[in-house]
Amino acid sequence: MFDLEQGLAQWRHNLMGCRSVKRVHADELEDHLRCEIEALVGQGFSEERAFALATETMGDPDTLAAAYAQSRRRPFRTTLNRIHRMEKNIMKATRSSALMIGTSLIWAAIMIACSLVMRGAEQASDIHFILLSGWFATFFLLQPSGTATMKAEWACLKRLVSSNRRS
Amino acid sequence: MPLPKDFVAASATPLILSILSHGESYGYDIIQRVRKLSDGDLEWADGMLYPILHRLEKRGLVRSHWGKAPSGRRRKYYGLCQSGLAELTVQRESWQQMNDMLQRLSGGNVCLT
Repeated sequence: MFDLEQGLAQWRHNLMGCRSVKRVHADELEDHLRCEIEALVGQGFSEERAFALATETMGDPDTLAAAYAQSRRRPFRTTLNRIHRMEKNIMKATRSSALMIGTSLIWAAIMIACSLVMRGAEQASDIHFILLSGWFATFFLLQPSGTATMKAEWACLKRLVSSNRRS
Repeated sequence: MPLPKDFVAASATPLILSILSHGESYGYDIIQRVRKLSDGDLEWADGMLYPILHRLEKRGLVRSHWGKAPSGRRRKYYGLCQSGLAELTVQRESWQQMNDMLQRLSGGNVCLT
């Protein structure tokens, strides 16, 4: 003899065996299942058949658990993933930094050499200013991807901040 | 004719929001209304509605509370938030736009190659 309450308890037990399904989720789903069973019994089905049909329409516990797992918020893991993505972007940027360091060293050497040659000269500060401008200009001209990466980092950071605000 | 899966998935949010715009409801009732509206052509696996509702709640589009069903059972009711109403307006406009485009395209002669 089929016992509906026992069947429902077993179904609930199976469902709650899945980590992503909490007690409140099971309560809500059980109410749904009971509604469906009542409707089917009202149409003339036996309790056993109604239970079988209702659980089938509900979907199997594994699929349900996967859907619940997807809808659950995991802020820590999500934040970790975002930090990992940011780190990857930074790594991309540092790969091209060898050229930047080399250029900087050359410019620094030129500036030191100029200082030594033009020691005491009136135009020394003007020449240094021009060299410094040249250094920055070279930095931006040789590193077009540098600004793109900076923009990407900034956008990533903004997304991270805004999503944390939402959560 | 049963609707394709992609279509069913894409239409879930506007349908839920539309139903809730008429007043509070609960999962089983939402599914029954969708079934009736579509003459059974739109079939959801019943359990899949709830994760969608929870996602909408997390997005702040719907709110929920536990109440009592006429039978005395505990039941979770869902209602539309102000931001849900705004989202519904956007979704309706998008679907309308898509429908208008398809209507205009279906006006011409069909050419099969």
